[in-house]
Amino acid sequence: MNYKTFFKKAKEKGLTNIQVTEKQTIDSSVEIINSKMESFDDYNNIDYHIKAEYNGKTVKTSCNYLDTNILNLLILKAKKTDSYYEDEYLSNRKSIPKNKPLNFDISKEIMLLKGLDELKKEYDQVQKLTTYFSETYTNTRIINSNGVDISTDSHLCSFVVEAIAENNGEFTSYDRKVLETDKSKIDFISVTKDVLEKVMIQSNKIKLTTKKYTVLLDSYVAGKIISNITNMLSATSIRNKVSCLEKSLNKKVFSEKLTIIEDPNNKNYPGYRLFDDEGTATVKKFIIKEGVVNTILYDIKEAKLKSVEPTGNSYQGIGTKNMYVEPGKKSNLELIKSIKDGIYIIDYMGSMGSAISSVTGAISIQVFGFKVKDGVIVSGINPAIMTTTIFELLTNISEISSELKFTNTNSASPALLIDDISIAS
Amino acid sequence: MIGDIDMQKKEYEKYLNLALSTGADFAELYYEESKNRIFRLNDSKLDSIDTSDEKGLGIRIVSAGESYYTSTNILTEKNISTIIKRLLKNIPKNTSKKVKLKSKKNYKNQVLIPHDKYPTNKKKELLYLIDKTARNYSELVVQVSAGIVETDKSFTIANSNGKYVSSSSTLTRIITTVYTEKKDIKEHEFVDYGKGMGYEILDEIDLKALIEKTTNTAVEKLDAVDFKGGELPVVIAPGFGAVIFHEACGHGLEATSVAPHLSVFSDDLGKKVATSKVTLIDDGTIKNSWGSFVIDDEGNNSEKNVLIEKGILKKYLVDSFNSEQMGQVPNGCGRRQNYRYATTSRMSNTYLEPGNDKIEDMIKSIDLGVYCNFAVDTARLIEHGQIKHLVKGITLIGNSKDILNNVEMISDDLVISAGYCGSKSGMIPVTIGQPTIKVSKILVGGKE
Repeated sequence: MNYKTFFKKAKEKGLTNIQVTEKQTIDSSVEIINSKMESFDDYNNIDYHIKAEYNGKTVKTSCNYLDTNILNLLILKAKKTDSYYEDEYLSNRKSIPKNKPLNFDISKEIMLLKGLDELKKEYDQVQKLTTYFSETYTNTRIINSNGVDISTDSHLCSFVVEAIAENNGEFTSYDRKVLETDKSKIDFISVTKDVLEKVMIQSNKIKLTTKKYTVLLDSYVAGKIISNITNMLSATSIRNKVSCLEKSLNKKVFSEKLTIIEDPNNKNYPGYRLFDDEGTATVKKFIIKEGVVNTILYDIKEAKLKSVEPTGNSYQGIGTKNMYVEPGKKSNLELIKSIKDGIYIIDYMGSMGSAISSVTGAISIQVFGFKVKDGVIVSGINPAIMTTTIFELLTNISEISSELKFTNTNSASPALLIDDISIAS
Repeated sequence: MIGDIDMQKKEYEKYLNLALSTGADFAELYYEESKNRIFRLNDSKLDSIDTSDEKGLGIRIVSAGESYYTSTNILTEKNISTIIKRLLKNIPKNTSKKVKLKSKKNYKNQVLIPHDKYPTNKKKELLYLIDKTARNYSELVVQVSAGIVETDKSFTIANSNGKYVSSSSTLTRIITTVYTEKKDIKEHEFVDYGKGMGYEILDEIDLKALIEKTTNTAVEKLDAVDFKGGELPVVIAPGFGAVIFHEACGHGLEATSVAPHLSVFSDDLGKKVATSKVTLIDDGTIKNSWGSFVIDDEGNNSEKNVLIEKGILKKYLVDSFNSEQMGQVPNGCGRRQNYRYATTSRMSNTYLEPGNDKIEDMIKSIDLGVYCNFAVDTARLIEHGQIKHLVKGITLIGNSKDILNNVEMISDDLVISAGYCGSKSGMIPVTIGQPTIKVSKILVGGKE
């Protein structure tokens, strides 16, 4: 069903202000294991997120096709739910036409990835080399019964390398992910060489003593941990009293060295968006400024409940795009050189989604990485668990690296050097 | 009807023949329709009904042992032909063959009270009951989030071996998180109950008792203290403790990791990999279980697979694609979240078979350790053979072979819990189960 018919049928059923957020994703990806193609995947889908008013009450639904059953579902929801709110709907917005979707071909990258296997021949202990490349085009279009029709799109290329090395019958894996808006910026060979060298060091493991350490959180790890700030500062979590930052607005809760910014308008970062999923224009803003919580994150519903302006953070729930920790002045290498006795954490794993609790701020995660002694990476580490809180971790920051890398569209951080963190091993 | 085309047997045959036109070895079409509903209660109100309705088509082509997959929800004849031809551009040319599908077979799980036959008002009442039960139990409860998750899914599979089957399934799950607070300390506890059935699920559970137990845990956790971690003996209570076997062992027995030799168990078939106490089973046939299915997402019947028997590795979980490479028969475990994913080998209902050790003997045998009897992150200290106060920040880790070889005692109180597992073919419903066990040595996280 096309939009014109869909809006007409909605009106006939008493649904007003109907608005559709259309998301088109086109993706091609390939995975190569030891020069053999493990999988090739193509993907071309359109998803719809719909909101509409029925007797003054706003309701929403998600689907991947448009028909009258979807309209009936919206009416049922309006009649049966207890919560009531009137949304704001876009009107009088200058159209931004939808670009023609990119039609890319990754056959060159398939050959390139297969060739990378040659690099592993220099490393006897490396048993497996897995490489993955994907190219993704995403377009978000908002179209509504008020005549609004705006679009924002992005193009992303992702390269992932994982090497597995064997040492005395024990396997160790190390992986890296690179995310760029332009595939010519990806240096496939040097990333793969770096992974191969690192897995060799990591495969020679030592057991740690259980105590407090200086830890260097790699950019990837720090970015993943920082992403939890989004949920902690979500107006929904705060309204429901389920956030450890519930009473923290305008208070200093982290190190003054920590500043977190969201900059969705920056085209060089992978989460580029002109507007969020409700059409609210995105803006660059400080989320944490020198350790002080500067803003709560609102969509339209939450903003109306608090009589404030929405912050442009509606992404099917409250979320962020291009949120990052402001970089410092020293390189990763300089930070490693400054460590006398510490751990360089390059990845972590949690259990059952409870690894980092946005309710209590508690963090308990299995960490993987390297032992650093007198400024030099000396070995890998045996299984270890880092137990801390988001408050302790982000208060004990002593340095922030100058190297900011995004590995997803939502959040990123340079490496963080942190003192006195408990590691059990 | 799919989009603007009528998808009958001859259309499936037409697209399969197109997929095989350049000489691929195998082709499969997977068409799916699904409806998901989540009735959500927050702040003592039915806050929202999250709904998601989807239709889509996935196409897999296998050529020279390599897998090519494409998916779309733009279900026009033109688009389906275009995406198949786009895949074919990457596939080496060979002699083509023709497909003739068999007669269609239909499968479904039995549902007594379908989701749409149970009135919305009754669903609301159920959620209000959960909210009231938790809030009445303790004044320390500050928030209750509860939900009823309904999933209805049907799919049709047609492949170049002539297989032509369809299946439909219904899943229902009740989820609750209770939040507590005391002197600015916050805690929470999650509980769920899920089955492969409709609203007859309510005849199976004592919801009030379940919510009271969950609330009690959320209250008790407020008094937990920090604990210095290290390698310790651990008693793991039944149910969700089994996640450690699912993560550390189950995934390593899936052909997805065994076939490309990415698993530590890749060369261990027939070898002793665990203490003789350990028998690990994956069973997709358990009637109405959350992780069960009549046929898998490749159209094969579900099976009960004994993976480890008395410590000996007997079997891997093998899907059709990997079965070729491994030279083993597929055993009903090809699964996917939806049409957007190609199938691969996945777990269903994975559990450790009960033993006959006594829990009190496990506790008595430990001088210093922990008793993990909560869902997550909090446990009770064991000192000198006795259970003591609550400690927090608990995470258990270990490598698969160490854990399996350190299972020292197993009791007879098997409990199976429902959840989701995320892996290469997306998020799928699974259960994990285990009786109380004692692991002689495992790394326990903690904080000084």
